[in-house]
Amino acid sequence: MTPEVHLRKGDELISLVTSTRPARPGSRRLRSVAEDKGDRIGVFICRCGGAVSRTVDVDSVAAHAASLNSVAFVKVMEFPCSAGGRAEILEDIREKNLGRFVVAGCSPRTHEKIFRALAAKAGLNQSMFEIANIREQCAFVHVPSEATAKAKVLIESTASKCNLLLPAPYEQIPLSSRKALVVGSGLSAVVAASHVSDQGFGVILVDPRGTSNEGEANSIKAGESVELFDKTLQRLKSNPLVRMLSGSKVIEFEGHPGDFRALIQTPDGEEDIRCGAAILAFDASPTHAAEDRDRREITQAEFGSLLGSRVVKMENIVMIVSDNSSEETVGRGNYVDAVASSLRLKELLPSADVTIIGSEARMYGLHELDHIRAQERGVRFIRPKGEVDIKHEGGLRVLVTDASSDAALSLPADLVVRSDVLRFEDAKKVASVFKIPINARGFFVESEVRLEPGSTLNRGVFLCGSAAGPRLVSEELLGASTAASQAVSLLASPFIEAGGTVAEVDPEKCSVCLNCIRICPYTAPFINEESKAEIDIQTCQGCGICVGICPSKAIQMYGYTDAQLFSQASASLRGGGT
Amino acid sequence: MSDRMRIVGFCCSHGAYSSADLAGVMRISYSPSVMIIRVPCAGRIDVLHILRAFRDGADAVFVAGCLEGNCHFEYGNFEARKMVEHAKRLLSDIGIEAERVEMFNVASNQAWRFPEIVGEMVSRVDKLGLSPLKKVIK
Ligand code: SF4
Ligand code: SF4
Repeated sequence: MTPEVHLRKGDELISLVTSTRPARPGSRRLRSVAEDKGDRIGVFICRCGGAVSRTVDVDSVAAHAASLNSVAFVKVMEFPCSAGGRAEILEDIREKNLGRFVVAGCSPRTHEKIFRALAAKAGLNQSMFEIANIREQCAFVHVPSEATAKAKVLIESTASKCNLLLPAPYEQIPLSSRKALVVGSGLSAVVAASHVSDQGFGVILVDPRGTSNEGEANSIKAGESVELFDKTLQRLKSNPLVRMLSGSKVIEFEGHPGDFRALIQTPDGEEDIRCGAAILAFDASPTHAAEDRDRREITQAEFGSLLGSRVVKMENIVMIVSDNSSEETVGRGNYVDAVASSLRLKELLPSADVTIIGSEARMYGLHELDHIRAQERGVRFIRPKGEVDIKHEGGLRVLVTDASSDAALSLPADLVVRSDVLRFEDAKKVASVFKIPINARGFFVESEVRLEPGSTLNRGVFLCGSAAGPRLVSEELLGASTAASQAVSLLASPFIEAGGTVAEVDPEKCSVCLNCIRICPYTAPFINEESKAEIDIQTCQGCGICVGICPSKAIQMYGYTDAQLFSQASASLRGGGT
Repeated sequence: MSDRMRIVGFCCSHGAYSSADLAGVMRISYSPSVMIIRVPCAGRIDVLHILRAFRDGADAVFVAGCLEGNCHFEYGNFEARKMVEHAKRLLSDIGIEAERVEMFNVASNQAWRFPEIVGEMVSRVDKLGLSPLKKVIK
């Protein structure tokens, strides 16, 4: 899978370029390097209870570190990350008047947070320290003689970067609203809304299709889910925390996690609302078959309503299940749906003759039991070889070659039922309102499918339903609670943390070429009132892509400025004393 | 400048750097000539970083990001690849072998992959010899 680089253009680009956001008050420029020179660096070298010192001669490394010009203080410790170790470092920072420090030990991946908190406690800016990874990336992988030499270089290059560190901006921003905006009309929307409101947070449910008003469920989700939908909806209606805006849609959406503003078009005019998080709980809906088709060829959704009306007289039914390789976007549950409706048909009309033709028998989990049940009730399953044809003369006949016996079959059919083709209406429009990329199949892109399912590139906006791709009902329910719990954990936090490793534009150098605005995955850069690019520190995720792309070299990034990286690389090439 | 081999590896924090950490935890050794520079995302890399490393005496430089389609920052690894391709062109223009620069994609759970990458770059330098620029750098 190759993700497209989502270059912002058209309306979306214009909305960021023509914003009237004022320049951030007190917006800092990266301070000049000279200003920070002379700050005293402390180096704390970890023995790690022998894990490091067994391989690395820490005393010789310490002697090397002490010989470096920029280093003011060196100490070898047993466990700098332990409570005792941290207290010791804290004391040294104060006593020796250190302005920044290097910890040589564990990977920053695991220990950065600990030392960030320590720096803050010591009254330093949280980013005024660096970690030299002499454990995982040195002591564990090299033989003793090499490891000691390498540890020296690692500490030297880390210290030279540390020397150039700049105090990064950190902000704690209070939430202006602790309500969640939930958009959607189907099962996922009502379930997500009820999860959020059950935990005591307000919900504004914007329901574009107006189904919550009519009390009629999404037609494709038949069976139990209709009941669940109705029950949940009734509960929501009686919950004072929930406000429903039926037949409405969101036309504008902007802001930050904890502080979003949405403009909603309701049947009674436009309404401005505030919310702290948003959940997009859309369901892709089955498309209607073409008008001029043969009336005896219908979709699963249509067959579902036919079954619901309980007036099925057809004896011979052939279902053709499209597989996932087909061009059109079909549901994940095609096969599940076909088997379920064959069972329902058999209940209504035990004499019915049902054939299911499909090459991929995907019955997830316990749905397999339905598969067995259908076989017991006499449903015929055929795995096709080659194309499946339909002959329309006289009565319908389905022509198919059975893959296992190679027999060419001609099945009489009163009805041919095909899989639903799902389409996500208005996906493009919704995506541009919420500033979320959509993929080639027309679905929203989740940003962290494994680590944070349901999250999007627009922080504070979460996805569920089939917004990110076709799902089974059980998966939709799971998705709805995932999105709801993500939204709740945001709404429940005391404040939103922003800043740290973020990028910043020097307005004097910016030539307003818009490259950063087009490339940033997160819509962090915008053009401010002074007609210069500015990066919103609440939105910036600190990837640094814009830094390299800026032709005017107007952007730098805290913690990874060009100067810092150059000096680190240079020291690691020359350093070590030999 | 000494005649030892030095390779600079710009490693993204989420993929390659973590893969190197895991290789460490699993004690899969690799050549100490590699110097890892941690960056938040491979997309942070500019062609300048690669060129400067050569100027400062690197025999080879690699950039390692997350697997394609799996970038923590969506498409930073694609931007990095472009930068690497660009650096290759510039270097070969001035007579430095393009093979001395490479882009790799590694997932954080591929412990064996990082040592493999280092091995690949070391064997390239073994074949090509130390960087010709080393002679002129003091
Ligand atoms: S010059 Fe740099 S900061 Fe200014 S708009 Fe272009 S890319 Fe952005
Ligand atoms: S560092 Fe990344 S997230 Fe931040 S503004 Fe630049 S491109 Fe956007």
